[in-house]
Amino acid sequence: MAERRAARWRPILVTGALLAAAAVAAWFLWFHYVHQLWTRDARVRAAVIQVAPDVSGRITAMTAADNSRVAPGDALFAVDPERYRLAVERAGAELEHRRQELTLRDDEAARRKRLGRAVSSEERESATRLAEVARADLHAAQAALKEARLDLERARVSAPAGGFVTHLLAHQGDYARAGEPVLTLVDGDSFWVEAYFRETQVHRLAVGDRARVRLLGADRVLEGRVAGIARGIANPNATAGADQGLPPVSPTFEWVRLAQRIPVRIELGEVPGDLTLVAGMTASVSIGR
Amino acid sequence: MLHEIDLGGVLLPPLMPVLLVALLLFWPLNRLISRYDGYRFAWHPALAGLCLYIMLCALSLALFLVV
Repeated sequence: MAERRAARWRPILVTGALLAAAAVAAWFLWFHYVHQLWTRDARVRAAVIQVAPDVSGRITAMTAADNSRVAPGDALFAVDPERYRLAVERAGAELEHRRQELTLRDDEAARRKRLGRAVSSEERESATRLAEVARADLHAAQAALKEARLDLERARVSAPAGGFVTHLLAHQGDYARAGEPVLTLVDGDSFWVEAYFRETQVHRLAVGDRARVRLLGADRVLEGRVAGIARGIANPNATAGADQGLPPVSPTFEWVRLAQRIPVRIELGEVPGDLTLVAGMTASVSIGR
Repeated sequence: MLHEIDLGGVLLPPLMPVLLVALLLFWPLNRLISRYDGYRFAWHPALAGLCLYIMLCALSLALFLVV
């Protein structure tokens, strides 16, 4: 009787043990898959420099080729220097004019001083002041010459950083305006990865954590570190609404929520030389271990 | 580390190969147990099979994490 009862309970016990083991396995799956600090939503980023000439003029030489690699200080393009050369000449002539004028005024002031009582003190003083004005003018002319030389120098535009020329649309003969970007330079040493983690994951992240980055389609894992967590994302509820200036608060579901994403900056360690890193590429990032 | 699987341009979540490997392992195991009538020890054979499959999933995820 007791034996039969045991035999009746055995299958339930076996299944119970299996269920307990499966629960542990399910917890393992949950912890390592869902709980994993991992995101597929990451992009490669880089410092993008918009190179603009400091002076206006026709582009006489375009030495930069599209997508080419340039070292810092390499010539990119040159603006027609003729106008700026003439400006230097004019500033030189102006400087000479001011120098002669100063000599004249100085001599005048010295002469009036020597004459003593023969001239009025008013005349003496005005001659001294005129000489000082001429001296100030000379300084201004010196500065103007330096400025003209700087303009001439800036007619040759060189790379402010080492990197890659991108999206080159200007050509020789195009007119370049001062301050208006002519070409885009992607800083070759500045690549980093911006990983967008769910706000629920961010609490388990810390600056300095080891990160592994895998570019979409590349079979290599890049090592990196968490360099920083963004401390702010836009809140559409906080904007000033068009309706009487009241905040446009959007309605949300009470049950199902969509976790927002927080940008986390990953600094890359060593990047293999033959790996083509492009700003904007998609990557997966895994944190820890 | 986990990463998505590129299958002809379709990007599959990393859980996909885990489930497939577990299925491939479960198949012969299920056949073996059925052959020796192992399920007679279980209360509900289907429930026992599901538990085995979940365990195999965990095992194959562990394998993927190590590799």
